[in-house]
Parts: sequence; C-alpha cells; structure tokens
Amino acid sequence: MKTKLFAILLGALGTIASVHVSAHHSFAAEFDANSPLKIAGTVIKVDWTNPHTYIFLEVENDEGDYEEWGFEMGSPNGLMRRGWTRNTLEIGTEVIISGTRARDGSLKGNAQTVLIAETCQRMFAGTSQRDFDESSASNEDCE
Amino acid sequence: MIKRILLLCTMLGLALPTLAQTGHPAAGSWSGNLIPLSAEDPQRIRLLINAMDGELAGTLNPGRRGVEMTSVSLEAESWTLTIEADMPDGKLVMEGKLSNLGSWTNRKYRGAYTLGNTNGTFDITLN
Repeated sequence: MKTKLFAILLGALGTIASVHVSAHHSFAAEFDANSPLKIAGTVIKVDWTNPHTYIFLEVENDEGDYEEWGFEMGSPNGLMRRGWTRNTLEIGTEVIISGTRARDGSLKGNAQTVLIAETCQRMFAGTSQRDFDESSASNEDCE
Repeated sequence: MIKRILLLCTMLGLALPTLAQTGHPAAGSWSGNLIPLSAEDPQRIRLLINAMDGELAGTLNPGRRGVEMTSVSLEAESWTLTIEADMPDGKLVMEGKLSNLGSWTNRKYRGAYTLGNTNGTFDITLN
C-alpha cells in the first residue's frame, strides 16, 4: 500500500515538474540562425521566468502601426551572472535588440544583445556567448 | 499517518499554481490608442499602473518622456477606471471600463477621454 501511495505521489510531482520543463526547447527548432534581425522598440513587459526570460517590445512598423514583438533571452540565473537584474529593463525603456528571428515568421525572436538606448549600455542576453563578438558591438545606434 | 502526510504534500504541490492568481485588475503595463472624434490620426498611449496597499498610481508613456498620473481611481462595482494627468497638450482625463478581467493578456480598458480642448474614445489592452 505504501509503495502504491509513493508511486502516486511521485507521479503527481513529476507531472507538476514537467509543466516547467515543457517550456525548454532546442534553439534550432524555433529560431533560424540565418535570419538575423535588429529591431528598436519600447519595453512593455518582462517575464523573468525559467527556463527563459522573455521581453516584449512595442515596435512601430513602416506603416506607422504598432506591433508587439517577443524575444527569448537566457535563463534568469544566466543573465544575472552577466550583470542583469530583474529591474535592468524597466517598462518604457527604449532598446535595440540584435538576434535571430523565429522560423515560423511570427513576431518573435531570440535576443543575443540588448542595447539600452538612453545609457548606451549593451548587454549580452543569449544563452551562449560563443558567437558574441564584443568587437562587433559598435555603438553606432547610441543616441 | 504516512498516508496523510503524502496526501498533504500532494495537495500543497497541486495548490502551488494558484499562488499566481493574484494582483490588482488595473495593475500592469497597458498599450493602446486615443482616438480623437475629429479626423486626426489616433495617438499611441501606454500606461503603467501600480497598486500598493490598494492605492493606485501610475505613469503615462513610461520612459524618458513619461508623465506621472495625478489621479488614478477604480470604482469596483462597475469596474470604472478614471485616470488624470497633466500632459504637455493639456489636462488628460480618461474614464472607461475594465473588461475581460479573467484574461492576463487580453484585458481591455475602453472609454472616453478629454485632452485639453480635444476629446474622443480610447481602446487599450493589457500587455
């Protein structure tokens, strides 16, 4: 009886834990490394969650309409090791994001760097720094 | 005894997601448009509303050009939210109703506004 109860408990906890795991995925499955993008906008939401942090921007397109773009970044723990805090990007912060576009063409991307326009601070936001060339991070976009 | 402890642990585990079901219905980051009654183009507007101990406060167009709201109040019986601020174009008064409160991503704030000598409607969505 005890074994049966333990098995049921283990199953329930496993189900709960798997909800979080379902959000984790392969980069290549969702994003196209051959579709780089650079986009400027205003931060409207930040989800500081595991396994990935997400930021959402309001972006004015060429027609003058506003679109909501979502960008996946590294885990909160990984970002904190690179100097981020939960409050680094406040609502209303103007940023320029360089990264990779989603394969499905939706308004989604994977952010590699985030340039804060007001302070000209460029921060690495990805999950791996192997492709991040500091020397290429010019400040031409700074105001 | 063990059976009861296991049951308690399971119930606590299942109850964890409900901890996220908190927050003031007006609090958050909102985006939308002021739509003048004249033929002028809609004006983009963003709101950031915070709730501390039941008191509401906020900023219009948060960021470098943000303007603090001078007054934010919610009449809970009709879910009427009223916002006032001194904008560069004049005093802004927005009065509208919150709707679709069960949604975290598609909550609406719709109503009418006056800004200086102009007026119109607004349609704003929770981000």
